[in-house]
Amino acid sequence: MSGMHNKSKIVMTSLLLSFGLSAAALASEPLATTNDENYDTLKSEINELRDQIAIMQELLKQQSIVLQNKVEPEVSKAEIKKLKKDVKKVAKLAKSAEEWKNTNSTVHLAGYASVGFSKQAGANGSFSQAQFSPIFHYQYKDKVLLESELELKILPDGSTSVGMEYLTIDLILNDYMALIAGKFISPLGQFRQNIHPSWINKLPSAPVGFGHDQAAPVADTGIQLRGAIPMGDSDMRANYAVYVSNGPELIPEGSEIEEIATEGVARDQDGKKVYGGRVGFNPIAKMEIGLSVASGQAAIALESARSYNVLGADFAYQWEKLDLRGEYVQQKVGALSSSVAPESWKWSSWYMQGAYKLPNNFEAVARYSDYDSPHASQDQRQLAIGLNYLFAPQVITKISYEFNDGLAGTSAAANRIRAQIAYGF
Amino acid sequence: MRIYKIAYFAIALTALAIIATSPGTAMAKDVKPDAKNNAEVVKDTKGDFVRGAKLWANRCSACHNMRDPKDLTDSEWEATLMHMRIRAGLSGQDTRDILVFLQKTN
Repeated sequence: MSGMHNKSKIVMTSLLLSFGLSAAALASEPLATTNDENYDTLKSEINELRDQIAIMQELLKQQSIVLQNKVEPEVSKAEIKKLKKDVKKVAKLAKSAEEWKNTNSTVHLAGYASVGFSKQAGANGSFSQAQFSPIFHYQYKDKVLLESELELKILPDGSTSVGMEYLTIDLILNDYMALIAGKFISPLGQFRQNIHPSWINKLPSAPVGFGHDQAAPVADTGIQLRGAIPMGDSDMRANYAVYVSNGPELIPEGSEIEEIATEGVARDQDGKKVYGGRVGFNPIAKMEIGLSVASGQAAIALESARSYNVLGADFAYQWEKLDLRGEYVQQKVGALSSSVAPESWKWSSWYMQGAYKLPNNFEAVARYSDYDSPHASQDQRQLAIGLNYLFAPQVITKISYEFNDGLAGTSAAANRIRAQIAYGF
Repeated sequence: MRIYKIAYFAIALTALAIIATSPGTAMAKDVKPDAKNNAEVVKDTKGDFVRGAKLWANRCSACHNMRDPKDLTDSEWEATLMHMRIRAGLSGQDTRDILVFLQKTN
């Protein structure tokens, strides 16, 4: 607009100068112009100049209108309207995002699910598994994490069982230590705490001896300190977990201890705690060696406490497409002369597993496991071979065949074929 | 029994050494006083992308198949990494490094 005004001023100035010069020129002419002829000529010229000024003014007016139309054309108004609409939309979205952005807490749902089929030699096959294990995470800043995993599964009679695998409140104390309180997965060994989710386990079943109430502890209720061990700037890493818990309960059957219940009971019948932990060491990338130990006392209900000890060792190694891992664990219960089951009892198990990634998202797996129980009917050795197909890294279909060796005539001796679809999310 | 006592003593000693060598009782990292978004604090101030990429490749595959960073959003990775920090025994710094890598490649 200021440019337009400048132009107008220039035009007006030019006209006034022209008019002034013309008038001056006329004024400088001799007085002889007083005669009628000169007067008429002068009058005519002045009128002509007036007409020219009027024309110029009209032209100037038209130019101003044109310039105004060029600054705010019709199409620009439409664009501005659209722009305003877009700005409102963006502001609304930004406000919506801000609502989440400014929270100190994060809620996250993870977990896994699996469905499966199994057929034991000499028996009918069945779709025997439908399990859903949601994991809830409630995080406050980087200081606290509440995490809980539920286990919902269909039982053979069609009913549904609901269990709490773990529920802990984790307080981050510093870069190398967290306090874990509640019911937690046993930190002894690697299978139970890291490998058992169906989308991680490369076979449809657990190694023999690593199931519930077998050789490997499953869970505990108590408190735990865990984290990393400072190793400087090297590529080596190390981690630890130490805990104190209520410990397990011993389940008698006649004059024997049938099993050690390690499901993380929320009571302590003998009043004696169990102390334990694991140290893991990564001497090189993709290799971990772990040692586990626990010691304390456990009891049969209404009996005195007796010694309870756990010892374990594990390793894992990945090299290109090969994944190797193995683990040994034993649980021992000491003798107690006043008990209905006075002898000492020991459960132990180990496994070795190799998996190799094949082309086109296939994966071959083989695992040998051996479970030694004080009860002959529970002893079992198993060779499992399997083939997996990965629809996605967390969606895996598995088919396996298990060669079982156990007490003749029991299910521990029957071979099985299993199939499973597992999905981690 | 002797071996259990020695092993338990070693573990207790390790825990004490960790407490002694840890940077006081400070929280895992300094949080900006005006920072309302924890993820941004982690993202901007502490993590190292290159170290995170290397750790992601080495540590995560120790147990499970590698997840695509695009599987989860920034805040979902934050909670997931907090969970894995506990489960896998990662240090605070390793956790922040991996988090930066995942949040910048998702």
